[in-house]
Amino acid sequence: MIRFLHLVQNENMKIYRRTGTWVMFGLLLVAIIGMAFLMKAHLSSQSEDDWKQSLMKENKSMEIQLRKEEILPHVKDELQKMIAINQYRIEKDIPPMEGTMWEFARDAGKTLIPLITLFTVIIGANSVAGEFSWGTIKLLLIRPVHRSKVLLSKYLATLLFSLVMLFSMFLLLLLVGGIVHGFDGWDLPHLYHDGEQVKEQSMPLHLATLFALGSVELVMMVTFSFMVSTVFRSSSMAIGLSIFLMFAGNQAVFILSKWDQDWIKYLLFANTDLSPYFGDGTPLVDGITLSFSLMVLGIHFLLFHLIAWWLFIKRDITA
Amino acid sequence: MKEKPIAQVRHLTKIIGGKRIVDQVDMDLYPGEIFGFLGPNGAGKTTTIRMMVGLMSVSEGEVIIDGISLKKNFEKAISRVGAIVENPEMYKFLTGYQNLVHFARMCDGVKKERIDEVVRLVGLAERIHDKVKTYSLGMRQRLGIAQALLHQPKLLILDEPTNGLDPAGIREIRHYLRRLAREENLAILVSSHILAEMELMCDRIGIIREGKLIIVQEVRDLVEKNQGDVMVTFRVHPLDQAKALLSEWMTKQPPKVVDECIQLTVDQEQIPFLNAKLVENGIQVYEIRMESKNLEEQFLELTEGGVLL
Repeated sequence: MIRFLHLVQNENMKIYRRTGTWVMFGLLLVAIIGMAFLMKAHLSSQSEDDWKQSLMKENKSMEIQLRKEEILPHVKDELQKMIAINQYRIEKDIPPMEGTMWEFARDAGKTLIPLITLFTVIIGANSVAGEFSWGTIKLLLIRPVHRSKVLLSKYLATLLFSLVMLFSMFLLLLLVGGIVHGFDGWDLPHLYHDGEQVKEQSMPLHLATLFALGSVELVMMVTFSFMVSTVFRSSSMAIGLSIFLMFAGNQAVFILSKWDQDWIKYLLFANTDLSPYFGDGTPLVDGITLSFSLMVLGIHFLLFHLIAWWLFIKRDITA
Repeated sequence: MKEKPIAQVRHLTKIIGGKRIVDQVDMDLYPGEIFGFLGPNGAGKTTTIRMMVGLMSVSEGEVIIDGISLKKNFEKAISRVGAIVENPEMYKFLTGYQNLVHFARMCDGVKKERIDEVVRLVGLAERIHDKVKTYSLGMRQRLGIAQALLHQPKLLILDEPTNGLDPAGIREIRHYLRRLAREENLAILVSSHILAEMELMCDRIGIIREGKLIIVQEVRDLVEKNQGDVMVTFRVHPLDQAKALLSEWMTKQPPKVVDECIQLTVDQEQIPFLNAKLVENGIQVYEIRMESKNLEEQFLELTEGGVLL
């Protein structure tokens, strides 16, 4: 066990001792600052009293909608929840997150997760393929450590890197968001309706949940890139294929979903966005549930790992 | 060699695509001995070595290290082995020291003191905290040896350790390996395609050709048979006169005329003397050339060919 931790430590050393890794952190910071400028123009700052007025207006128009005959039951449910939340805000004097550092953190964070996915895909692709192209694989695999442990340590170090990146992003978002939009909204709670009543949740926890859901695709893409780099021993191929799949995959599922074929729901990219199951939009393909998506994700995940592991164990090292 | 061998290679065979890259190789390596593994490029040296360190799977036969089967108990068997396979490629973006720490973490019981000891042993103390990308080839080779020695192996396997080194570097490695074998009682397997180098370094030499280990010979025996005779070609004018003179002086091994030149086998020491005599007798000497023989020819000659049959 101690030896295994040493292996992860080794992989970490190889990740963070490279200049390229720190360039990634630099780029992340630049992207966050860039987002702050871009979004500053869009976010309208509301004055103290305005928000209560506009929430009341919003509630009135929603109540008018509710009285209509033809309203669908789930829309009705949704509207009632929103009215309740708005009412709660007005009563307890909790302004909405719009125009605060939190809104910035949420929106910029969602936009930047694909960037972190890209960075982690690069790290993961280099993790195995790099050893082959450097020739160090020959020194790495003649140690008293089974190959599967070496592979696992590399995978874990890659995931660890994505966690470090996500966490850095989180902190930087709050810092930059606070500087640009003011830190005064820092203690705002997140409000949600659990079906019976309005509840408060801490905002960082809310964002962490959102980011975690947004990272499902990250984990899948990194696992995919890790597999490709193990199979082909080429990091550029792994990076290229992963990026292509990331952009084309979602588009393809989106287009295919118009087609109304049953098999589409088994595709990986029909299932990477889990947020609809947590009350944010609707699934890309009709009729799939959270457990179905988790199953499809799990099968892909295992398949990727199995292929990578099998080849890594069996392969003759000729590099 | 009454001691127990550290490494036993038994009927080792590698078949790739129906072709026998390595064919039934048998070797025993003993402590304190440097074994030279000699053969032209592509003869199967590196494939044999890769099988001995578990980088390649074994098609037939087995490798036993310190009594442990490499296949059945890889982790235990390989912990007795230190190796450089082909070039000593290290992580260039790390320092030499970080590279050693990296490999030390992968073995049990390699302490910081051992790393320092190995660094001193290979004479890299001054530059060990520099990035490997700033190292010369010789320094990388030494760092490669350092990583192979970290865990105090009983068998050291070095694939072409003198590749790309200058003569001084080669001599340094040679002395160094001799000392290791003598003082630490290591068994060392060294591969090369240069016979002359092997002669100076090794106790025994095994020749591999087309995947087969065709002969294993004590270097002492080789050296005794090689009395410095070389094949020399003289390009002279006039040819006949020169041939007559040379035949007179060299009665034992008469010269032959090949391609308008005279060829004869002679002790190296005699070449300047023969040259002087030819000039004295009014022969114009245009060229004196030692015929370099390819490795196999040399070796076949040294072992009198018959041994192979």
